[in-house]
Amino acid sequence: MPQHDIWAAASERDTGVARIHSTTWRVGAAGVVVAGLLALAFGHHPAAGSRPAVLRPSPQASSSPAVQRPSPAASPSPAAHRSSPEGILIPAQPPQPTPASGQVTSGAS
Amino acid sequence: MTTNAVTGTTFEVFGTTAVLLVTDQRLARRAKTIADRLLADVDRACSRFRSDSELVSLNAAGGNPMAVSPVFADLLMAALRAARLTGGDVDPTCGRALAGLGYDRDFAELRAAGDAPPRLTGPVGPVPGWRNVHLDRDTRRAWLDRGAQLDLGATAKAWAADQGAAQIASKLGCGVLLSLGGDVAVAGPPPPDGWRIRVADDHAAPDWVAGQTVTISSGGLATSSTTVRAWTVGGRPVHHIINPATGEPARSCWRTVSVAAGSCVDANTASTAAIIRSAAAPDWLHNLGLPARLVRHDGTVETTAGWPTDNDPGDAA
Repeated sequence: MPQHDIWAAASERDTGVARIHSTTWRVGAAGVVVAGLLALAFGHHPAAGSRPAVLRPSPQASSSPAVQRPSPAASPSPAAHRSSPEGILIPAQPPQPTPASGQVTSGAS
Repeated sequence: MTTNAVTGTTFEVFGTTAVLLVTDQRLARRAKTIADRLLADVDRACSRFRSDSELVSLNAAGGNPMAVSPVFADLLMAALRAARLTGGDVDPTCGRALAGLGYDRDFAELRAAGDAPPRLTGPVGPVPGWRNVHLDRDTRRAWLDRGAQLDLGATAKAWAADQGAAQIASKLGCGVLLSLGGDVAVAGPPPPDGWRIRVADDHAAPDWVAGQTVTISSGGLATSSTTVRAWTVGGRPVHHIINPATGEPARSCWRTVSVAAGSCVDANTASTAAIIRSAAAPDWLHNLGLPARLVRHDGTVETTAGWPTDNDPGDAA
């Protein structure tokens, strides 16, 4: 192969590599920007959600004179703070009393 | 015509009574259609009393792997999750123990037959255990070891209630309450004052029977009791909540336990486990932060984790 062909080929190769290098950087930078925008748009702190939490400590016990277990103490068992999705889901809030009649009955069947 | 009033329908399914309520009466018929389709799939998958159900086929497969439907796979995963979360107290391998107590047919038939003859001789002993139930989620094949026989009664109804309510709310965009034999799941936007649920020993109890009414806005509420699905075997009173450690009906200091949770299947898992755990149940529920109402055999009540007491000012009872 003539010498000038080798130089031309090397030059074209270098130009191509530089183009790929530049394009890769641009795509990468764009990806970072898009990821950041997506995180801002859709990211939420877990505590901000209204979905049922997983095994969070219970609310405070009422002052009713009837027998009622108090809420977990200041040093609850390890299970009380587990956040694994493998835990039993606790409700967003405990059932509330009502003087009205029930729409359905929960009982054994 | 008001369209946003809660409206509902009552129907029979799984040998018990179902109630479906929606917050938009125009959507009641479509909601029922969605529920019917799902409940038919669940019944076909896991009924112990249908010769063509997948559960009956798997129990008879002699430990050989069997292809299962997506619904059955989901039901099995729910049952295994319940077992895992309760340390095996809620175990899906109680099928043989229940059959041994004569509960090998629809409960209405069993009750109509009166005293059931025992089907097993000799001591029952512990059930094979949930670790002998296998599901390959990739190939959707299931198999049972050590002669395990499935009964998904502790989770299937509640799972179906969750799925039914979620599907209806998602497809129709309304608030939904679905109760399957007292296993209650709600989804979608609730009525302004929440869903009003009376808790009692029996889901079919009339209003004058002792109980309490509460409201919930999300998740589920379930009740387990030793007093309702009960019968006699050779003159001995028995019930359907099996203690996996003994293979016998659980001996509990509680006759009825109601639990509210983030889902109906979790509520029923906890209420069933509470019956089996007996005196240890309140501390267990308390540490999990699960609101519960536990009724002793003498009718006295204990509550946990924010469940309102029976004499709370909000309750008229």
